[in-house]
Parts: sequence; structure tokens; C-alpha cells
Amino acid sequence: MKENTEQKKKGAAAFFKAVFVHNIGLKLLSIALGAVLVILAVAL
Amino acid sequence: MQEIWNRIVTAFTENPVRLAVDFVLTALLLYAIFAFVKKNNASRLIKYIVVLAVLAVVLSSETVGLPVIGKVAGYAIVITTLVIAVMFPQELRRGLWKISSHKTDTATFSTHYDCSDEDLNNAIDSIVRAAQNMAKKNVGALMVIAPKDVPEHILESGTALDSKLSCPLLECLFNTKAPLHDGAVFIKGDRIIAAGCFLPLTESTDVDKELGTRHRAGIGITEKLDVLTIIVSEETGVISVAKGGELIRYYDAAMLTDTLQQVYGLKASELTADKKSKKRRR
Repeated sequence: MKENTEQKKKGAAAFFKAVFVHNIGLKLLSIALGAVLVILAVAL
Repeated sequence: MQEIWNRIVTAFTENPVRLAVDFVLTALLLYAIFAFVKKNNASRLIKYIVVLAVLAVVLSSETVGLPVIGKVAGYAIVITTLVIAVMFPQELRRGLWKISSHKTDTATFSTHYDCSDEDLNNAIDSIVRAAQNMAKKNVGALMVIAPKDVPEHILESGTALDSKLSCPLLECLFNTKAPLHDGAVFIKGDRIIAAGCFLPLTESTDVDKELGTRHRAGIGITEKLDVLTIIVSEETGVISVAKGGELIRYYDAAMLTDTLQQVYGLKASELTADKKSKKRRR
């Protein structure tokens, strides 16, 4: 049971790290550029 | 200006879902390109891709009305991406292979061996003891833990064995006076399938210059195949492990055992056994 909980915690930590920590600069750049491109496409 | 603002507001109020999907897909595509470019040490290209993407959208829009140059900018992005793909074919091949391999747990090789868990534990114990002994004596070693079928041309570069794995056998194979010591040993489950195999070297520039050909070969094979390599340095006796093109140095016996148990799926199987025993108790 303890091992299961620990594994789940580890998995959650790894998921959090993969989504919010790893390559965060590139992710923010992609989101920002994606938003800019969509707005430009709509506006112009 | 007011007209542009009105257009944005109208588009977002009329079709918010369509625009959200468009935004998410664009961001994902851009991230995939950026991550690939960055991983291959070509970060400088990112700014060109950003500029080209903005130019392509702005120039080909109805307001600016320069569809030809806009299309050229769009094509330039495609050409840049193709050039990157041509420049890094191995990375692309590995990426495609990873996508098609349907792996759910990256720490565990998804293969069932033709032997019991006890045999696998004995094999792990032999590998760890052999690595430690060779590290103490500064004997170089390169062991490849292969869960799936290894390409024939790599196995054919060495000598086929298919023998039961044991600590003395591993040490014999890497004995500097033995004919098969200068190459890699391929291990599958509790068996040594081949020895003296030549591996492709990594072309990565990130590898420490202190590390020699054995380490480069150990990393190189993990870039092409889903295998794990254990490398014992001849100069320093340091034990390193490479997986997915990344090398981690200074492994001790406990770390190596833990990694091998994960790779062989023994930890997961212990958990399963634990669950089964609990079910029985109920």
C-alpha cells in the first residue's frame, strides 16, 4: 500500500515536472506565439 | 484600428471553440518544432522560425494583401523544418520509433522473458557483481541490456553465444587478454546472446571529452534502440549507465540493482505479486 502511494506520488511529481518545469521557456514561447498568430490571422 | 479590434471581438464571440482548437494545435505544433530544434543544439533557428511564422500570417492576410511573399514565408518554414530533419536523421528516426513503440512506462522494458523472476534476480546480481569486480580492477566493460530483438547486423558484428549469464563468464569475456573483450556484450533476460559486438558511436557533442570510445558506443546504441547500457571505465573504474541517449555516471551497486530491477520489470511484478497475495488473504 505504502509502495503504491509512493509510486503514485512519484508519478504525479514526474507528471508535474514534465508539464510545468521541463522546457517551460519553450512552452511559454509556443503558447505566446500561438496566441499571437491566431489573433493576427483573425484581425488581418 | 477600431475595425481590427471589432474583427477580433466578433471572431472570438462567434467561434470561440474553433479559435481555441486552432490556438491549441498551433501551440502544440510550434512546441514540437522548438523542442526538436533545441534538442539538436540548433536554438538559433528558433528566432528565424518565430519571425517567419509571424511574417507568413501577416503578409498573406487580406489586410496586407501580399499573398505571394506570405506563401514564400510559409514555405520557408516548411523548408527549414525539412532541412532540420535532413540534418538530424538519426534523431528523427529515433523520434518516429519512439512514437510507434507504444510504451506506457518508460522505466520498464515491455518484454516478458522466458525465465522466472528468480532467474532474472540472479542475472541482475551477476551483472552487478561483475560490474563491481571489473570496476575495482579497472577492467573496461560494455554491457547492453536488450529487451527486444536486436538488429542482426549488430549481433553479426560480434560472436553469437546464447549462454546462461553468470558473473565469472562476464568477467572472462571482458578480460583484456580475451579475444572478445573489445566490444559489447548483449544480455537478454538471463542469457548472454552475443559478445564482442561493435556499436554505433554517438555523434552528440554534449558528451564529456574525457569519455572514450566505449562510452560513446554505449550512448550511441541507446540513441538508436530501446536498450540500456552499463559501461565500466577502463581508466577510472567508474560505472555508468546510458538510456535514451543520456549517460548517468557514478553508479554504485544499489543504484545499478535498482535500475536493472526497474528495467526488467521486477519491481512492478513484485507489486503485482503483493496485490495477488492481498487478494488471496481477503
